[in-house]
Amino acid sequence: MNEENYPFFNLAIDRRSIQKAIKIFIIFFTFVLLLTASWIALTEFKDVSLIFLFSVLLAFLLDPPVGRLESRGLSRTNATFIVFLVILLIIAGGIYLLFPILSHQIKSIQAQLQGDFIKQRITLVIQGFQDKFTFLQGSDLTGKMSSVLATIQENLLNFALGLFSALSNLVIIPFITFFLLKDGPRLKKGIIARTPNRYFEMMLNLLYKTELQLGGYIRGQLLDAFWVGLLSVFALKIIGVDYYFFIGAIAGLANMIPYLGPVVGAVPAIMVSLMQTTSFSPILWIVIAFAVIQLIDNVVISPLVVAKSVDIHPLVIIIVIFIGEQLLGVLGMLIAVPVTGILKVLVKETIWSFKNYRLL
Amino acid sequence: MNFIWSNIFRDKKDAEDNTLELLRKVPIFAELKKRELSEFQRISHSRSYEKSETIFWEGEPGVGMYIIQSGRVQITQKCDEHSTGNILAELKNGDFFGELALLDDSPRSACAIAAEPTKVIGIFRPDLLSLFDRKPHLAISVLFKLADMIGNRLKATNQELKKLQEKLNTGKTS
Repeated sequence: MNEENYPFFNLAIDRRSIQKAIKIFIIFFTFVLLLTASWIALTEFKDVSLIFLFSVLLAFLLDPPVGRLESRGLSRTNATFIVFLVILLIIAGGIYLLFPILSHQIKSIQAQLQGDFIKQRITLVIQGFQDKFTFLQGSDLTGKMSSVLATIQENLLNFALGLFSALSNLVIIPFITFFLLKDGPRLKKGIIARTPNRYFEMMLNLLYKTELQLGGYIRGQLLDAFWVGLLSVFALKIIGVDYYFFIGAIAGLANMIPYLGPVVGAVPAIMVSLMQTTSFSPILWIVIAFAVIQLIDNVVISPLVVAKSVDIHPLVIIIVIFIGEQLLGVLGMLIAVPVTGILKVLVKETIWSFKNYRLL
Repeated sequence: MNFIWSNIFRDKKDAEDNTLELLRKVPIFAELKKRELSEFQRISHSRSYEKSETIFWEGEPGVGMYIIQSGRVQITQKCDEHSTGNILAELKNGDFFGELALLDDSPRSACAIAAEPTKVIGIFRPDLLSLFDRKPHLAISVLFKLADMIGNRLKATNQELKKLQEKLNTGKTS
């Protein structure tokens, strides 16, 4: 058989190709192993993983002020301590100022959830609907809405319980964050010192680039959520929606879920407004307010604070939101996109490093 | 007990002093005060290499510079996993290399290979940028010195180029 006529048989499988194939297999195997370990960590050790994740996010957020204080001649420990003290004062001040509003709103929500007030309001709202849209008459909308309400109440209770357990971690998270901030540079130096010579420069580059991009992305996401939340609180207060503080805060947090976020923010506002007034006119104002806030977010806030380097495809966003919901419920939906952003940066920079440092 | 502690701390202090002395030998750090120099000492990394071990490869993105603490390093071109390539220079204690990588991550123009068991101190761009962010006044003196060094090299290269051009021109006319 003449090999020249059969190029398929003419493949020269030399030692280098085999070595390269082995390298690719090891990298792929390590990647799968890491992914499996992360999956197990998120599902089996959910609480610990979440505590660590939140601590890392907070450490990224607080790193710039600590760095700024360091540039003024303070040691890393003192700078971290001062930043923590300032944040503690801000939180304490915020609680002191907002506590009356918060406790009033919590009591009011509790009272309304326990009594028949909501059911009566639903009946009134549905009657209003049926009067306006005659084709709805005759259908059992009240019954359907009551069952939907029961589901919402149940989910709200679960969410509140989840929040309560998250709040109990409030002591552990600042503790870990403090040490991550204070010893971050030393921790990084320790990792680099233990890296084998062949991968040392690559690891240095990888750590720097991921830290730079992740820092910008995480700070951007949180700042964006803060501004959208603040704008929503003001808008709802002006429109006169009850529990404006809670709904605004939810809208801010939900803004971290692309596409669904604005809806998640607007729907509770519309529902509360309907229960509150049984009139449809504030709905228009709520929709306009949320549309304007989205416009401000997309045109002003997002371009200023959110890093462009972590663009995620819309389809991927939808898929990860569903995965997040399956894994961790509402919390999973909230953190799905930031976690995907983190993974994207890590994978992108790892591939870049492997290619440029000739490991692939 | 105190003896043990004092020995542990003395070892650490000796190592720090050695690094400071070594850093002072590098022109870009030569004019810094001891306190300023210790900032660079804090961001430096100590690395040890076996004989024939590659410190960095030609074509890989540069991350920073190395100063030889002990041993010898060969700077070579056209090197790969099987051969050391053409030796351009051999560096010894106190010599430094790879300093251009402090400015950007463009590919390394040569390989650096340990000619014998070698210890080096590395200063790298990510740490340097972070230090300059925290202490901008350090950036002025260090970058000024680096620019000065590169400027001098450029002048020397221009002189060489001029000489070669003259040689070429005399060759053409004769």
